[in-house]
Amino acid sequence: MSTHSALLHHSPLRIVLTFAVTILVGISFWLHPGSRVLQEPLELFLAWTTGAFLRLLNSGVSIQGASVSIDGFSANVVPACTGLFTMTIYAAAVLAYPCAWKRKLQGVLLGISAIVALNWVRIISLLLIGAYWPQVFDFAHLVVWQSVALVFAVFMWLYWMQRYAHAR
Amino acid sequence: MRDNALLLLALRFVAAFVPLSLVWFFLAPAYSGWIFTVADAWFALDDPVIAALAQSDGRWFAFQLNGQARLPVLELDAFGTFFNVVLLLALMFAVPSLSLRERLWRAALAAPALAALHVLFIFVQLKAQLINVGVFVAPGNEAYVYNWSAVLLGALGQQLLPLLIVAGLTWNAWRSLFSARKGPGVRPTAPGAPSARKRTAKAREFFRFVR
Repeated sequence: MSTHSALLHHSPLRIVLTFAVTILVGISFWLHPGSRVLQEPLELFLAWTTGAFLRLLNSGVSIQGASVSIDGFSANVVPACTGLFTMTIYAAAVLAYPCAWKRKLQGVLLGISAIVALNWVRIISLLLIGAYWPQVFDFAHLVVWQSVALVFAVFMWLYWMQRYAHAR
Repeated sequence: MRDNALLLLALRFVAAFVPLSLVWFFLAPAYSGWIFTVADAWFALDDPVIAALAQSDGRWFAFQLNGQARLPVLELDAFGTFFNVVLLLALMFAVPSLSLRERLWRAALAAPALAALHVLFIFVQLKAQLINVGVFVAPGNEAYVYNWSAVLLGALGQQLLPLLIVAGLTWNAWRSLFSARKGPGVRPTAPGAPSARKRTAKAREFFRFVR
């Protein structure tokens, strides 16, 4: 079945409901204090890997827990930095799309890997911006990167949908 | 959709997003001022204990809360909060298979919808402060709304809403683009799928437009 006919032959209401319910369940899960067990290791992992990479470029980088410092600029990797929301939105879109479960699983793994990679780039760029161009840090952090991350997730979804969702 | 069409889509988005982001520096104070005027008028009718304070620099706006709220004044970063206007317009520009006129009237429908959601966002945040809804109440003593729920709204609402609005208004354009796909893994004679001739015609139409 092609993308076009897949969309035509499935109830739009079912697709929208699956998308909305998956997002609600996902976000409720991440907001639950119990999910910190999963979030904390991810924060530490991101802080350590980005800090280790930056150490290759700059010897003045230090890592303490989920905090990374570079030339006097320090930033904490907090839940919002982990890309979990973007991943949840992406996963909801993949799960809502009508195709085989095997393809959905492939899509979730592919997209989440890509979002994690983008998130590394995002954190590294923000640390460098904070250290060397602090006047635009807030703009880059709270405004530009949030939009870019979501649009990236949309492009990943479109890519998966066209390339993999109905592949044999 | 071919991979190069997807790349083209990304390039069109970037081509719109970058200049619009720069324009936003000049547009934000006027847009935010207008939103806060509407919000203030609404609060005056609905709940007189909330009052908008004069803007300081066109970026930060403060609301005075005279009720039971823990904090008397709450500040909101209008520049970042309303930035999704740029996202909405850039996405509208990136959508394939639409004429300029079609884009403009869809943008004219989408922008007021988003503006109404901005007013609603402020209302929800302030009401939640007044009735002390746990996850919305700012931690510590800072008046800046930057808590877990604000981050959630920022990550989800601020970015997802424009996307959903654009997707809803341009669904047919996307569908015609999907139907133009020709490549491995797709059965060209799938039940209900348009004929090869129709798909080719639509593909031609799209590539004529993007040229």
